[in-house]
Amino acid sequence: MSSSRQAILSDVRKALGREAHSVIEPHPFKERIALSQAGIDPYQQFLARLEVTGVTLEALADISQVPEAVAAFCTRHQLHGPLAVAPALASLPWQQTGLQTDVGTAQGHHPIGVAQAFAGIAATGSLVMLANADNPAGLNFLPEYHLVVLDKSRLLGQLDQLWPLLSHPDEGTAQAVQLITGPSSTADIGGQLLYGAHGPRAVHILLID
Amino acid sequence: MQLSSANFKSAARAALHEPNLQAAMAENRNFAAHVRVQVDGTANFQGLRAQAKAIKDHTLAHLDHYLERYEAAAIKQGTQVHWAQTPEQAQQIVVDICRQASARSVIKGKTMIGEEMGINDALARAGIERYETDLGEYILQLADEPPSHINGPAIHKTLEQVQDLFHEHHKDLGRESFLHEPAELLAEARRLLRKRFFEAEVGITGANFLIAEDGSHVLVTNEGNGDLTSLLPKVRIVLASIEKVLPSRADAGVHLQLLALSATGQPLTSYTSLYGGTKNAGELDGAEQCHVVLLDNGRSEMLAGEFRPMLRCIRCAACMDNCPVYNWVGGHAYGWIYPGPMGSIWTPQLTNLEQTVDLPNACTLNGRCAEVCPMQIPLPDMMRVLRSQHWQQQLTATTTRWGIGLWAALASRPRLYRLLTAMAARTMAWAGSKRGRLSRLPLARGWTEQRDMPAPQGATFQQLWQQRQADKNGSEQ
Ligand code: SF4
Repeated sequence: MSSSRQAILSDVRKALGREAHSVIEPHPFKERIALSQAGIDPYQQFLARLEVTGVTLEALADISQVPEAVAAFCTRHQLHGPLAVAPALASLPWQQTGLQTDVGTAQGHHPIGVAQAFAGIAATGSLVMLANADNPAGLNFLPEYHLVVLDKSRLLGQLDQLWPLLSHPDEGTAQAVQLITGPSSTADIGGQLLYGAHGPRAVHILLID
Repeated sequence: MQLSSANFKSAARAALHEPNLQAAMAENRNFAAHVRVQVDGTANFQGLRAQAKAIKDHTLAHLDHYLERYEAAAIKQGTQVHWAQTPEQAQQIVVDICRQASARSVIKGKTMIGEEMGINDALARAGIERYETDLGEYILQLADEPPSHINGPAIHKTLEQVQDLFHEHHKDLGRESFLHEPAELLAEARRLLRKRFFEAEVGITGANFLIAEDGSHVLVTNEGNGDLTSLLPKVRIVLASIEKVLPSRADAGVHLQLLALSATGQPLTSYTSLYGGTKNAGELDGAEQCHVVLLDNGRSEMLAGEFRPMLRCIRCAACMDNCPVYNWVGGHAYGWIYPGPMGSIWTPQLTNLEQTVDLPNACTLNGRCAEVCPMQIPLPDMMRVLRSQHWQQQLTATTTRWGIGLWAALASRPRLYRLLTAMAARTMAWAGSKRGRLSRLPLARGWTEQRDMPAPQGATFQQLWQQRQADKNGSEQ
């Protein structure tokens, strides 16, 4: 309805007393404020935040150890069934573990999704997931257990440091940028906090040191 | 939703005597207190708040520009942008998209703009099955009730009520035993809704923000239902309103932290997602079509006048969670989709003044909402503006008008005023001389029912003032 478009824009301009090509005052800020705590090592802060949000972490010396760590996780939690693994991680030595892996996105029957984070944010305790062909977004939401590989060098102090790392605005945003700060949760049933509402009940980080 | 704000008084009175609601509201007060502790413990909260306000004021002052930029960037990402002046236009747009997609069912995330545009009824009229995926909304769909809170739509439902609802509605699906445990109820809802996610042709969500710089929209949930709704169906419809636009991702970052902190005390909600258009070549997940509906519904008019600050609202619900009226009467008494302090301003703007007179008058003007509002919206000031609009348009209740008229007549006759108030003070002092308190007052039974009035002691305020002025003049000479 392009007539609605014209009408709304013209109502807005009338209300503001502006013309279609009136000058734009510059944006009031160059720097944005972000939640942070001065003087705290980002890694320590990240760990402290994860305590609060209920996300677990284990450190690995090398990315090649990921399949083994995932296998151990499955044993610990008595999880069976095929793993959904991000194409970004397909080249890891999965065969050695004897786990059945489906490379691609998760379907409803996958109890575990293994994905790779684009970055981590210490101040908020968040994982930044970029949805693209190498990291299908379904991995982050469909399985009950979400295992995320995060390279320690990708840990940022504050949310604000993330934006310049994403693609240039003119190229658009990846289909989705998902900041994950804790497992899926709800308090809608009688006010009790419960995990695993629609998405994962547990998020576990495999941190590559 | 049918506007029933004109019944505020009777609905509020009934709510105060509803035990389930009172239990649920007590729970909400505890939750709100917990959130305040988190907010107060955040070192640079005030800085974040000031910056967010300045960014939004700048955006609103150039709203046409940012809307056009948003639209151009969104189109570039493959998103189709639709503009709707009225709820009816918006309904038509959504129904048309669903028809084109031959949709039999849609899954839906929580969207207050969707409530505002009456999308649920429109879908029902079009014969399209709708499944709510936010658990709170799911509970309400079973109960056939509107939301009573903008973030926790079913906060008025106790665990026992949810148990009963699930039992009644899920028994057709072959469940016999009565589920007690919240975790069991959750698992059941998850299982039932999972199927719906995969079946639906269309997914409808709201948007917390629109970003002009890259044409994406931001979706905030804790359940992850919004993301599944956005990712699984082929067609994605996003319901937004024109004031949700922000210049850049960095600006959205400021607002997102403020929103999460003020709403739940989290530094960010579990899932904060930026969606930029349709899925790209080679991608396995995502929608093939992305439609964004931009609703005006009176907002462009608000931009011109005294209610522009309300357009800064990020729907965090801090104002209602800290309101002594909302926290006792609950959301339904307000009679429309936006309850509490923010609703008392939004509702008259988006509906009409005549049927919403009680809303700004239910406010005690204690100022708490403005104190906690992360966007520094002067809610009490706007309540006063509404009250004076009532007066000008002769909507003020007759007894109130009469009382104010009488008071004005007295106040403009200082001698008479002094005489009468001194008499009243003396009478009250005499009546309360024994206990120092009055447990009953003429014309103020509602007030004295709950508490005693201290009996006046000594001189009146005016006498004290005169004395003070005299002393001051004396000492100056
Ligand atoms: S008025 Fe302020 S406190 Fe209330 S919902 Fe809006 S932003 Fe939050």
